[in-house]
Order: sequence, then structure tokens, then C-alpha cells
Amino acid sequence: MRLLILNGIPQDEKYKAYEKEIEKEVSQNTTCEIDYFRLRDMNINYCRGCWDCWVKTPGRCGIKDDHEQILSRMPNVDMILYISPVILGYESSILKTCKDRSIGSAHPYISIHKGEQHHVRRYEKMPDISVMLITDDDTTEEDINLISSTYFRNALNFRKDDTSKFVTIDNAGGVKDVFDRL
Amino acid sequence: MSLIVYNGSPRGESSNSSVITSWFLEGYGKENVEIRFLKKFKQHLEYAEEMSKYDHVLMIFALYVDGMPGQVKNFYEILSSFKEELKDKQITFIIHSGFSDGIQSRALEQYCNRFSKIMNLDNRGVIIIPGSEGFRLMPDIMTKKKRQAVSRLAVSFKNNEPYNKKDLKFLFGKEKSSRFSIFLLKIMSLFGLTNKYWDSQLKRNEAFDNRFDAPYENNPIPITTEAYITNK
Repeated sequence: MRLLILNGIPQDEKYKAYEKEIEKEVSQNTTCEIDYFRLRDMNINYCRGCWDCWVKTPGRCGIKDDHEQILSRMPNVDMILYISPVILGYESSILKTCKDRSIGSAHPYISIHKGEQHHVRRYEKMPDISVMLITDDDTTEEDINLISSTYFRNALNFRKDDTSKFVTIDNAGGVKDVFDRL
Repeated sequence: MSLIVYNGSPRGESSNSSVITSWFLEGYGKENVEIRFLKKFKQHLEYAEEMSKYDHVLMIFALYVDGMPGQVKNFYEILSSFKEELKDKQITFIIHSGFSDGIQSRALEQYCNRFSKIMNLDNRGVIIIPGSEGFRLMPDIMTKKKRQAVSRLAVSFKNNEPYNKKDLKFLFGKEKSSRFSIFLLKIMSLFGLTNKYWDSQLKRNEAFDNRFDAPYENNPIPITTEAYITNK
């Protein structure tokens, strides 16, 4: 399996040991081919809503920064694993900003999918989606459910016919367990 | 009464959020109102510091990849340091989207409520307006009823009255397109009518022939970042 990992953990001592464990697992994993990006150390700008990726340079973002290295891998992997701590009941702004920039991987055109309007997909194949959430004492079940429902919608917009492959994972079982479950 | 509006649109001043804000201010009034654009992300701390000075807060932004734009989340993360000062601050949210199905915005609506609860804000309601793509280009006559509904809700917000459910429902429209609407959409798409708005922009940019490009299919660009690890 080809796996793209997008690490949206912000700079914070409390996540350091955890992140080290993730990166060790990435380097040593023998079951997947992994591309891993630590988003906070990359130059990824906010989407500016210009829609160049739809109407000027279809599929390519008008902002030239490190994000193209991620965008250009998305249609070529089997799964994306998004990693984020739960911050204020949601994924980190670093991860959300990265996701915003992937708009060009779909068409602006709309069609009906599962009885709802969704963007037509640009690529024949889009990856399955999985999420690793790092929880803390403030995280509630409501937070997990809410983030799950948002990712469920992301999967629908990727036109994943089998959304059962979509999984949300917290850190209860440790990093190794997460990789095994994928 | 004073109001601060945080416009979370990546397009800033020239956004559909700006158009809807102008409808809101027709009802609320323009005196003692300040508007901040969150696309100016370097000013987020300054914007967060001043929120407590105002009686009312309007957060307005478009649905972006099934959630709020990244800059809005960044602003929220900064705001969390001011939780004590902002306790019970009256806030309302307007979220809008290009989709005409209301269901697309439900998860974000839930999050607006959750965020308010975490921050101990007095959330007066989440106004959902689907079908907003192109508001800024439409003649007034096409958006008149929506403009009036938003304006009435703004009056209620200012006067500390509950929102009129009929107005909220009118703006929200349908949870999902009806079978008839889906049928109509399919017929229209056969004749290319559903894509007209986008096609005209593609043609203007001389990109129409490339509209189905898939530039990265089997074509990932070389890695230059140092924040990358692989086991390949």
C-alpha cells in the first residue's frame, strides 16, 4: 500500500515524544510505501480563493510553495493518513490549511453523488482517508464524532464509494497500533 | 451597541462573505461597526485582543473543504488565549457555501456550536446560506429575498431577540436536493447549463480545453522540503 502521511501537529513540547514515535515508525515500517510530511516545517500558504486551480491552470494551484509536493502525490497513493491533535474540538489550523489547498484535485463542476451535490473528481482514483487524532483530557466524544463527520464528508467529496475504509483513530492504542490497523 | 465582524473569506473584501455582511448591516446598522478580514493573518493577535471591546460579534465565512477556512481556525486558536475576557460574549455565525444542499454545512454548523461552548460564548445562532457562489456577481433582484431575510435576522441579533425560524429556514433551503431538482440538474447538465458559470471563466482564461487536465496523474513532483521522511 502506498501511504501519504500529513502530520498537522503544531510546535509544542507536549507532542514531541509522540511525534518522535510516529517518525520512527515511518522509517521502519515494512508494510507500506510511505511519503511523510511534517506540515509545520513546510512553506504552505493559506488558500486565497482565486480558483486558479479550477479556471486558469486546471488542477494546479496558483500559489507556488511547498504544497505542490503534497498535491502532486495525492492521486498517486492508496491512502492518506491525516494526523492532528484535537485543538478546540477540531483538527489543527496547520492541517486544515493544507487540506484547503487541495481544492484543485476536484473539478469545479458539480454532479449528484449519493443523492447529494459533489464536485466531479479530476482524477480517476483518489485515496482512501484515515485520521489519527491525538486526544487529551479536554477531548470529548462529541469532538471525536464531529471531526469524524467532517472527514466522512471529505471522503464523500473524494467520491469514495466505499466510505467504510474511512477510519478515525485516537492515540489510545499507541502509534504502532495505528499503523497496524491501517 | 457595537459590533465587530470577522470576515473569514480567503478573498477578503471582494468575497461573497462581504456581500452578505452588507445585507446584515442593512439590518444592524453601520454605526459602531468594525470589519476585520482574517486573510490578514499577521494581524490575528491584534484582532483577537480587540474582540472583548465590542458588544456583538459576527463570524462570517464560506464552507471550505467541509469546514472553516484554515485562517479562521488559526484565528480561533489565537482567540482561545482570551477565553476569560470573552466569556458570555454574544456571537452569531453566518456560514455559506456554493453547494445548494444545506446538508453540506451541517458538520460546520455543529462545530460553530461546539466552539462557542468551549469558549463559553453566548451563541445566538448559526445562519446557513447555501448557493452563495456568485452572489457578488448577481443583480440585486436575484438576491433580494435573501438580503431581506439576513437583514431581519440582524435586527433580531441587535435587539437580543430569537431568530425568526421562517427566515432561517428560507435561507437554509433544502437539506438535500429533491428528486425533481436532481432530475432537472441532470437534464441541465446534459446541455452544459450547470457548468456555464465555470465554463465562461475557463474560456476567459483560455483554459477551457484544459479543464479536464489531471496534471499529477503518475507525476509527483520532486521533493525539495526537508520536512519529509520516506521508507522507500
